[in-house]
Amino acid sequence: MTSDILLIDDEPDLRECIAELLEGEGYTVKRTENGKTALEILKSGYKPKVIILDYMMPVMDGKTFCENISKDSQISSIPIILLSAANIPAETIADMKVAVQLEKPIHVDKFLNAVKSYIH
Amino acid sequence: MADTQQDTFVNLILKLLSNEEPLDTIYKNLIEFFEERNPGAICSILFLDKNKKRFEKVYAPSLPAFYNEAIPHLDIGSSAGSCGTAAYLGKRVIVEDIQNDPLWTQYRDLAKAANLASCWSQPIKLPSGEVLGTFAIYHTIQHKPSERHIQIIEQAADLVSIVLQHFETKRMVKLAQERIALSEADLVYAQHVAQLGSWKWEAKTDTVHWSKEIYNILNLDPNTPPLPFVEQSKLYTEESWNRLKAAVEHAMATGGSYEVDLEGRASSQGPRWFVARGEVTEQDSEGHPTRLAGTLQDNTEQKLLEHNLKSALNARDEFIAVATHELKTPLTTLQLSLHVIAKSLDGVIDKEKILSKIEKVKQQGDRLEALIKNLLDVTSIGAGHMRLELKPNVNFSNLVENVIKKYEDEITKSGSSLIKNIEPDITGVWDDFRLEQIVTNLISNAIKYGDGKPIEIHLRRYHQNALLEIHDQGIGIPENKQKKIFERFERAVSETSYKGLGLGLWIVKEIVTALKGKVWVASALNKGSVFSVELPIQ
Repeated sequence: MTSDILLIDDEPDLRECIAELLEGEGYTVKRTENGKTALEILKSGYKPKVIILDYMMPVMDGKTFCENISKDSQISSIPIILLSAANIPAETIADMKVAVQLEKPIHVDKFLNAVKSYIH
Repeated sequence: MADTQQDTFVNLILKLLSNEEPLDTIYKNLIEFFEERNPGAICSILFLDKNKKRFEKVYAPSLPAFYNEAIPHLDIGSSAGSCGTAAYLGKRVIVEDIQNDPLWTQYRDLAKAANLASCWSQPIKLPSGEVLGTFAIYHTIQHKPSERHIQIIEQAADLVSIVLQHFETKRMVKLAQERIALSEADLVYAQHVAQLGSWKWEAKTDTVHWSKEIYNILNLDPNTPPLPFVEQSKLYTEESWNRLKAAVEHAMATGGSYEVDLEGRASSQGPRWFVARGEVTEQDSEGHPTRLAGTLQDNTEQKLLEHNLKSALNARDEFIAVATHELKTPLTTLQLSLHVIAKSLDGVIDKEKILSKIEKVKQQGDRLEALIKNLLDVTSIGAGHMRLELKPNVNFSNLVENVIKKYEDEITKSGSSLIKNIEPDITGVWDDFRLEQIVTNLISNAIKYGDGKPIEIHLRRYHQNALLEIHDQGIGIPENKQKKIFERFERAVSETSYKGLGLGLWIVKEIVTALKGKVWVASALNKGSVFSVELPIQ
């Protein structure tokens, strides 16, 4: 069983909103609340086409999540769309090796275009 | 006879000078000595005033007082007795017979009254030729000087001049020493005020000179010798010492100067910082540095200020990052919800679903409003505008119960259970809105950091106070952070793992302080925390 997108965000309302937006576009979305649970899901063999990642999260934040998957080439090859609110230093973003970084509030069209470019 | 008299004369004066006798004593001794050895001779030493118009000082113990008192009132001139003329002309004047000499015409009667018949006078001069006064010998009979007499009065006048020059030199030296001492005192004071000491280092012998302030700055006993350069390694941290050594070596190799920030070795006084500056000030003929000199300055205050400023700026930056995140999250949800609502109006309209979405939008709006209120609160409290609206009969017990009711759902959701122990009807003169802020902030913290374990809320009377205690069994607060958490923008955990502005406890502390109460925390890492608030019941 697989889906197109793994959505990692700790804010239940926001997570639901993004998921519904994406499902409205016809994608299948798997939801999870932080980097740690996401890592468990990915380690268990689940392979989405794209990961949508929040930056600031309890338990394991986006940055730590990226550090963890960088050792696993199977997982690190999955493109990541990073959603961030705060101004993250450019070096941190570079280290995270994300495909796209979008700032909150999200520009919906840009976001959907980014998702679309990674799912064929 | 002249030679032996002259020799003993010189010996006498040298003895008097080495005993540091005053000038008056020396002249009086000189006259006594001379008169004793030359019976019948009466000696006088006169000194001119500044304008060289009259005599102002008279040393002539064997002359009558009235004669001595008359002298300072008489002008010197070309025919003003033996001394007045000798001083005026700068030449020796020999008068063998006062009563018949034209130089004495004016003073003949004065001399007669004093029973003086002859007077030989020799001017006392500086090497420059400047006339200072006269040395004279009187006799009560007409008397012609022999060659030897002339020699003696010439040499006596020279000796008087030498004594005077000796005293003038001593006076100048003393003045210069006083000036040096004064400027040294100024320097010590200036160094103390600036907290800046100075040093010299003779490189070849490794001899170090330190000013007093260096000892102060380094907190060393000023009675101990300065530390040789190599031993100064024990003053600073290893890293600082290595930098200093490298800078000094570089300065010595290039003949240049250096400035190094140094951190002191850990001491009971807490961290210390210094700035060391130095340069090569002397080189030998081959260009090798032989002497370095420079300063050492206490920079601790500046460093601490810098450090505090930096951490305040860091805390503020972190706060801005957190606040941005906190504000943008509901805003993003709100915006996406509206987008989804707009989309769902395109096709089959599911009224229920749209209404629930609109409800979500409203909630996000409320959340934004609450956050902004909190932020405004902080800015106004921070600017010193905490407004208390005190009301009588505020029921603290009911207020706590109401806040608990509001949080019941959230507590259940977090997995925690709640134990409460609220003594009823504790009432006082308080600001109910601010009281609610205290309780809300503490309960929401207990939920947030409580790790899903039971939470206890107690309220009771304790002496004349109301005591509120909120226990959790969560992550706890390390001891070194327990004070900090009450500061603005501070939090004990990293901002990415726990939400919130990091303002809650600061607001609590500000309100409690305004209400003249106390707030404190007892906590152990991974065991939980107890926050206590004590408010006087008025």
